[in-house]
Amino acid sequence: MEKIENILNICIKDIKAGKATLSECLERYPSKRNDLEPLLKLALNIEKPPAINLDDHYKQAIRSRLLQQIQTTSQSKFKSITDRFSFGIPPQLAWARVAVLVVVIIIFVSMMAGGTVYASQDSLPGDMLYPVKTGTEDARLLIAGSNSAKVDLNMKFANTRIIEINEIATRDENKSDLALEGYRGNLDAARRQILKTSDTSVLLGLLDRAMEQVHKQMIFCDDIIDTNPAFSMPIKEANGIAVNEQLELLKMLAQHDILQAAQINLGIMQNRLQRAGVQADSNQYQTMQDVLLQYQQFNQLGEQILQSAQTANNNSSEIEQLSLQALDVYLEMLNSIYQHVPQEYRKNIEVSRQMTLQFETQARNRYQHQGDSAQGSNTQSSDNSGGSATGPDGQSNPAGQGNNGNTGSEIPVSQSTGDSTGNGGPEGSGSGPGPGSGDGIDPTATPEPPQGSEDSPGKGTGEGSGPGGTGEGQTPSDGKKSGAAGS
Amino acid sequence: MFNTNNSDSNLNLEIESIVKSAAGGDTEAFGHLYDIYADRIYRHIYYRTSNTEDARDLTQEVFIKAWKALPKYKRTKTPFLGWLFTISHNRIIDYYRTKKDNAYLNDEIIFENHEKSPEILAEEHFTQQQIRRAILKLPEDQQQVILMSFIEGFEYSEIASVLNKTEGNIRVIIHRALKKMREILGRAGE
Repeated sequence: MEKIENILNICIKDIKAGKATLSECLERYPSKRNDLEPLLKLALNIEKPPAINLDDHYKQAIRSRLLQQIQTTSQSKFKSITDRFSFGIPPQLAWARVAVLVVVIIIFVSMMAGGTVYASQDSLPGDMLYPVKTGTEDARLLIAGSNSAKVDLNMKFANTRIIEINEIATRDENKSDLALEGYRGNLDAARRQILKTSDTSVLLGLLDRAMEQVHKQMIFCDDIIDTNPAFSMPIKEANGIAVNEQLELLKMLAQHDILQAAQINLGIMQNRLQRAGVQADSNQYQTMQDVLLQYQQFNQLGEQILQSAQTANNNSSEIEQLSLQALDVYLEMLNSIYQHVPQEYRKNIEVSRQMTLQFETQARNRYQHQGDSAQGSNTQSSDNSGGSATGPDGQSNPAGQGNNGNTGSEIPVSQSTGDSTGNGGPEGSGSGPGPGSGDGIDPTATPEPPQGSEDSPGKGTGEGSGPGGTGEGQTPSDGKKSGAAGS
Repeated sequence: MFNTNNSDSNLNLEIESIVKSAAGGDTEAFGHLYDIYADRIYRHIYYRTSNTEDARDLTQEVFIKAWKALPKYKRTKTPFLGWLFTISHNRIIDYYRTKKDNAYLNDEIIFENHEKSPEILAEEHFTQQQIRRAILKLPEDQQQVILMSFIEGFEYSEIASVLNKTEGNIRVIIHRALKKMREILGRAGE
């Protein structure tokens, strides 16, 4: 029987092309009618927006600025053919480069002559030609001239391993061990090569590329898990390996650019939460739990990064601001997920929320402290002064803001029960004169985003007061964060 | 100057040639690419941000980023516009990250059509704003696919190529996205 996504695609195309009407399409697939009809109606209702163009004046102005800017902006450089085949040999020894190249070509051609290498490319673990495939990869790594080339190759081969894991898992899960081992090996090798790189700018570039690849691998696994509800364990395992690798790479990045590491980490946390939300909406609660565990891993790393930044006083205030801003949203997302899942699956959400709160507290304490110091207040003796609250478990909650009203009574554990205005939302009971969530975070100071660091918009929509400002919670329907009205 | 009256294949060849020059560092060629695509990119960004000023700034940033990354584009086989859209998509995600709240979802974009009666226009306007909000609430990957397919009119094969996925993946994503949108619209209507 044809899958609904294919039927949907055919119907949309046919209707848009005038080859069929909606009712004709529905008649073609009577058994799918109930599922198909609302989706088709929605799809056909999505209209292209009107052709709004840039105002001519602005278009020309942007063009002039753009051309002016790119005159002084260099494009990313790619190595020339001669550089690519340098094999690490300096240009002065050009004859040696040629000699090595000739040898490599001879070896390569002789291997290709049998067609074995070519034929082996589609082989899978357990196939007779699979060792030829991995052997060819080893040979390519051997002749790769630079660390960068080796990292890129290892990442490319890691992608191949993931595809193999998926393909072999549908045939014989037991044989996927070899591919899983290979995947882990490629990632380890790439990381070792990155570590060996002494030039910081090259190292950062390699980390950027490696993290992008690993992220794609995570998403690839996510997709497979989503499309095959009875997904294979090897893919799940590969997903776990990718997550661990991303954590390792982020730790490396934090040593060189702690701010960017914090930003990327927060981005991944958001990505994991969004995914958990989708899983919860689709009643895939087990997968939701797995994704929340991943979220917790990144949350933990976020705390470590923040702690390092605070200890070394390295971009700590920027990271604190960013974290507060993001974690506020994440708590809302967790609450939303919490409300949509059955009781038995809520425990992990609670744990995630606890960890997020802990992270937020760590960021808020220092941030509040800095704000207090800046205002010359007398509260330096204790970060918690006036802002602490006691949760139902009797533990002090130094953040003491009732978490922006996110928590409210929706999640029963560790709800703050203070009595001051602070930041409590309409449902959460906030306490303490802490900084309103979202208050005092000057978007103009928002550091550049992780990808394309030159892309900072340079402006924002900041509202509210600086640290210590008091805002009043608003109803969620206002679509605004509490504290936004702070003066 | 670029001739917009050529047939599609000639147009593609001409664009390919301009892209090649731009990738080689020809700033004037890049200026031509801007002339051709600035409105499309601006419209796409405006649809997602509903803020004229931000959309202008982001459009400029997308082109600067494209200029820097252009040599990489030579190695891909995706349509140039699709490639620009992925840059826009990533830039918009960063933009959302810097936003304090989701207020942009409540902003409305301008839908003007002087050929229809005010009543019909108002109803259509309302529907399209609801749909737009539902699209913007989708997970990132679904949002990108829906926008590229339904709003920008890309073929599934082109989207698959841009996003490095199979056409089958794209069909699955669209199915899931439409289901999700129904849920969102259902909740909004409650």
